[in-house]
Amino acid sequence: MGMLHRLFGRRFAAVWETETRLMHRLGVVAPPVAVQWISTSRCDLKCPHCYSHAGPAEAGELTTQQAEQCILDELVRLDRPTLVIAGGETTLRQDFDRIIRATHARNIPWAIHTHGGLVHRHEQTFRDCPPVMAAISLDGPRDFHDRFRGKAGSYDAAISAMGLLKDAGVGEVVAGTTINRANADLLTDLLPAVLASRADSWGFHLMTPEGRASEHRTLLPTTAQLRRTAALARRLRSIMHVELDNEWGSAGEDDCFYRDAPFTCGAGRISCVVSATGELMPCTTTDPDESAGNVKDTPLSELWATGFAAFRSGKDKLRSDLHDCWLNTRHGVSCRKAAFRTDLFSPALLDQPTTELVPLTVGGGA
Amino acid sequence: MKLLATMTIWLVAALLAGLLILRLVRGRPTLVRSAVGRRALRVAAMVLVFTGTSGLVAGKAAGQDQPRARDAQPEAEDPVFEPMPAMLEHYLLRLPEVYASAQVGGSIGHTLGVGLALQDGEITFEQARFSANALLGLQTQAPNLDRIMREQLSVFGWEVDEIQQPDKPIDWDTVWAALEESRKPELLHPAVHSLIWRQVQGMTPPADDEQAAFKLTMIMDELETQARVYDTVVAALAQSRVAPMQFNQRAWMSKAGPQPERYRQRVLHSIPAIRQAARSLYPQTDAGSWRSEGLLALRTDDQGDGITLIRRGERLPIGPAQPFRFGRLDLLQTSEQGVTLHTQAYGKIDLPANTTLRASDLPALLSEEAQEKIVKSVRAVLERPDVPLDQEPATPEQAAAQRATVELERHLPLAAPWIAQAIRDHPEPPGSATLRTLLNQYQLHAGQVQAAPGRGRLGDGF
Repeated sequence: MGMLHRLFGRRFAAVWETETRLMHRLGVVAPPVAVQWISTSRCDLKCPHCYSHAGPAEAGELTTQQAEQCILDELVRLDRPTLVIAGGETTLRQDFDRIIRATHARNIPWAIHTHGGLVHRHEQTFRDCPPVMAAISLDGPRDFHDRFRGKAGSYDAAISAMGLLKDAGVGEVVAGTTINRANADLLTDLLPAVLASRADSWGFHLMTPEGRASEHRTLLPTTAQLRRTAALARRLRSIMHVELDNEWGSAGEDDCFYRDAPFTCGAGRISCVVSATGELMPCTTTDPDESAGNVKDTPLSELWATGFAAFRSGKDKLRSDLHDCWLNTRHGVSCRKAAFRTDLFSPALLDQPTTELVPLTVGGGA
Repeated sequence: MKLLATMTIWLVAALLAGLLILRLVRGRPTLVRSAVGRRALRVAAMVLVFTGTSGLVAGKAAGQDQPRARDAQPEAEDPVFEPMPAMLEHYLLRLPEVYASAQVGGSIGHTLGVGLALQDGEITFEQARFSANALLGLQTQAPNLDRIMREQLSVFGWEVDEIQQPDKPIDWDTVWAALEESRKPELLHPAVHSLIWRQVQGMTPPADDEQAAFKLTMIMDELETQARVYDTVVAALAQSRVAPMQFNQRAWMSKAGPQPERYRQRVLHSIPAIRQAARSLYPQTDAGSWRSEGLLALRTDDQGDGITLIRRGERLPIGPAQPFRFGRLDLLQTSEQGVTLHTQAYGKIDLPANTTLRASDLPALLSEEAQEKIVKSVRAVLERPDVPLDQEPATPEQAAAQRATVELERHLPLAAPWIAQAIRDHPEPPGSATLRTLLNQYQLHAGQVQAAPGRGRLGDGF
């Protein structure tokens, strides 16, 4: 690889930010790298940290035909970005196998977020059409996980699903733990189970106060917990592949100690989310005001090209900040400072997390 | 070369002009489907970044961030130039071999060193077997390190039948020899450093033994150097990454990283750049969480001679009434008069004269009152009620437990023995889980129990 590759690799974040703004100025858009589809709001669990109000299915969810036409065919037009199928619980969709096979037939790479409880029902589909990545939620040790998710046996099902997916040939199985105040200090106890689970990596997410989680703001991790968890993740990376996920934001020059690739927020820039009812969102936010339009009414490729200007332009300080998680900053609960910058003896360690919603700043947009 | 550069600039300019015209004609954003077009845009962005003109489109300097918080005090006033240790040079020379090996995985964590799973005492039998076998396999290469590791494993009861008990206690020379062995690129690993550090904390204090004190200083300095070398390599790998021009983040997989094979290839293509980056990064790289966690904030008494802090082999005099931080790789040396130190929450500690002290020597010097206070804090954490889902604000007990957790976290070198005892006596969560996390923060291990000093026992029913 030549000099350009080396230069790009070293200043990736800066180049990418400049490129995003430049393309917006010139009126051009690159196809997305990934499109997440909240395939249903239906879920058989009621986790307090859920970023939506998953439970019963929503009225107006995409039918099989709509999914194929409005999403899969459009992804082909967009140079086949990865389809990340999620929920609710996506494996509860009656047409799950059919949609996955249709995705595979179109040569669209796909990934899945699931609680794992129903993976065994679709084993043949996973074998025939293996996803590039499967993320299974794991909230804590067995007792905690089952209690938190409100269903006995859900922990064992998640662990079992990881093994099944590895056996089915899935290249990358990820154990995903959403950190909250109740489980932040259980991670040391969860480590042996993750090590034994055959998961390729362990992702630490952060609870975000949207959907049902907004009703449980007391569960937001404390400043001390955020700091402690980040330090733990850094140490754990010497024995297994642990990653701090997007919600944590950038650790700046220390990013290399928490992630294998530097953080830049891709919302509306390289990725987007199709909601259960077809709204095209920049990320998993449930705020309808952020929708770029509905894929049932306008082709996804057109919405992608014309939407999300505030995320791409650089004029809207909130939405165009590539170094933090917009989903958290819009609610005033950015954790970067707490996790990566707070000194052990800082008075902030005794602070409680923000419990008041910060009004969303209306940006300049372009 | 000059011609090529000129042509590139003209091509980029033509492309930008074309896109601008297209935008004016169409009146709305257009999807760029061609790979050539996308590549040209990326080159244009790179030109803007590397000519320092990215602000024209990005609005502000891109990619900037705040510096990290460091434990920077006290430092020598005039730090001397620090050459890169031979160990790091040796590691960098072996880097292609390490990464080409089929034994290593893709992520940094899997790739550096042997990746021994020694961090947690509750590790599964399969993990223990893996570790034991890996350790035993090292025997011929690193006999002293192997001996320490065998003893460590026997503490957990891992593979006890297969592991011979050491025939004599570990001495300072064995520890030093083990550290020399762990300089080997295939053994350089944080798990090994924490293992040796724990071993050193448990050995007989070198009171009144100048030679032992000198060896202790050497050992701590070497541990710090090796920790810095490890982090230097991690940072150099990141800084000198070579990325294909079509590279993008894996937006949907932020929870993972690049695929192992892809990562390996990227590193193998970056070896010269990694070496170059490591040389410039080493002097500014600290020992990571050794310098940010498990610290103690202390202040010398208004009266007396002060004390000498030994850090990185340097002797740093701390005068009377001076605050300073004591880390796990630091040593304290008292003068002929002894000295009194003040803690944030646990009162004063009287240190004996003419002594070199490690972190593990301090708890036994605490007053009875301070020990009782630690016990109270440990109890508050241990007995904390579970976090409610629908209760705001938190109950007084929960708030007290949170405060106690932070207090203990800020005094881990003092509180570790009582935390360990509480975990051993009451292993059931939720409170003990928090204590395990704290202990892991301090000694990088939640399973090994260090005995608490005689006074301030936790008491019946604790």
